[in-house]
Amino acid sequence: MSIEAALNTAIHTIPDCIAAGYVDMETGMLLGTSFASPEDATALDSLAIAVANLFQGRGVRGFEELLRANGTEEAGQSGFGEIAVFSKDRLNIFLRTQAYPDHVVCYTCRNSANVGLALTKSHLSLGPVAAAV
Amino acid sequence: MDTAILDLLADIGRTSVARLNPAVTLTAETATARREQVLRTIRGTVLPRRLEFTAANGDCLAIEVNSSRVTDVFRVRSGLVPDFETEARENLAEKLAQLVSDIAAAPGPMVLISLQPDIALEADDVGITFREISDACHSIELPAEPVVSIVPDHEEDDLTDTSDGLASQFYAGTERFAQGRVQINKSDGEAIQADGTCTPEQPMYADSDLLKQFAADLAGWDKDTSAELELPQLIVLRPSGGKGTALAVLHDGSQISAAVHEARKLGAVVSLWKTLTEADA
Repeated sequence: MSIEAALNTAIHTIPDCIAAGYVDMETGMLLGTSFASPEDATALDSLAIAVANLFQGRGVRGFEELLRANGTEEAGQSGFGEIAVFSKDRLNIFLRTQAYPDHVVCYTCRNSANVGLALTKSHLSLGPVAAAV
Repeated sequence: MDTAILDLLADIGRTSVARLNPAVTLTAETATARREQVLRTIRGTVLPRRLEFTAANGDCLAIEVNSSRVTDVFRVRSGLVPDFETEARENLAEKLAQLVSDIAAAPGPMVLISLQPDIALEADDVGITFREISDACHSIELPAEPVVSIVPDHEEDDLTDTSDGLASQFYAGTERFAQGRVQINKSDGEAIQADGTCTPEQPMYADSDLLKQFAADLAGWDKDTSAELELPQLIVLRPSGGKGTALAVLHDGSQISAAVHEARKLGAVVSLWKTLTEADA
């Protein structure tokens, strides 16, 4: 299955999901996308660069180090693996893949999405999407 | 064989749809009906299962059920998890009834996931029966359903124009679930106030350099996403798998409040965010 097909399948299972992208944080580039409108494509481009900078920011990594130093992280985990961004009209979910920690799957949902369900289904979709790389 | 039964089986075969994931949506529209659905699910669970009820705002109640009895509680919407080892049976029934009522009172639709329990049940895990919980629920009144009024559209408010500051309100609101919290200026990363594990000599204390770098990270994020995402924003950074400690950050354009909390309390974070932004809109 191609990345696009896997993302497209994910979009149909995640509530109110309107766009999805697969980001390589090493380059800040999108390796695959699925979206309904050109505006969503532009947004994904911006988010790909933004999330790479955020995950790899020195401040964010500093907080990861604090958590690690104090043993408050679960064993075997490498820092923050998930970022959920709530804004006025969008919920953006960014998930690091376990197989490739420098790769992030991004889902954009409408604000009306059931947050718990969107997160649960995003997690469930991660395996098939990562397997498509 | 009776042809009616054959027709019935044929209908079932024709209309059955394979489930692609374990989540089931409970579609009841009122809190009372949702509570009935939760109780019915407990009553109908015979084999050992871990049931996770998740509301639309992310609030979650995770319980272990066996033979229509609740034998353990893993995650609650807010507050402490009942202790099955030490608490009296009648107290447990009342607390479970309250937890069931709380999750039913959260916004719908509710999603149910039924999972295998993490560990095998002990022989003495007799649990609290469905009937005891159901009886205790009778004395708990659920909030009245909100009346939705249709009003003319107003021009969209700019949520950043808050005189009292959403970041300050978020800082205050996280007191009940945060292990530590800190509020900083967006422009220079200077700390305004801190509490709990984020104070000096505590495990999650971030020095001024780290706070400045964090403010710089968020400034970069704003710059990268300014065309796509409006302020204010709630940014929740969680460990992979959702277990461990998480960081919830509210960024209102002028100030940033960060709360260190258990990752499983995401529901409380999202609930606070919705309360603040809806009140501010």
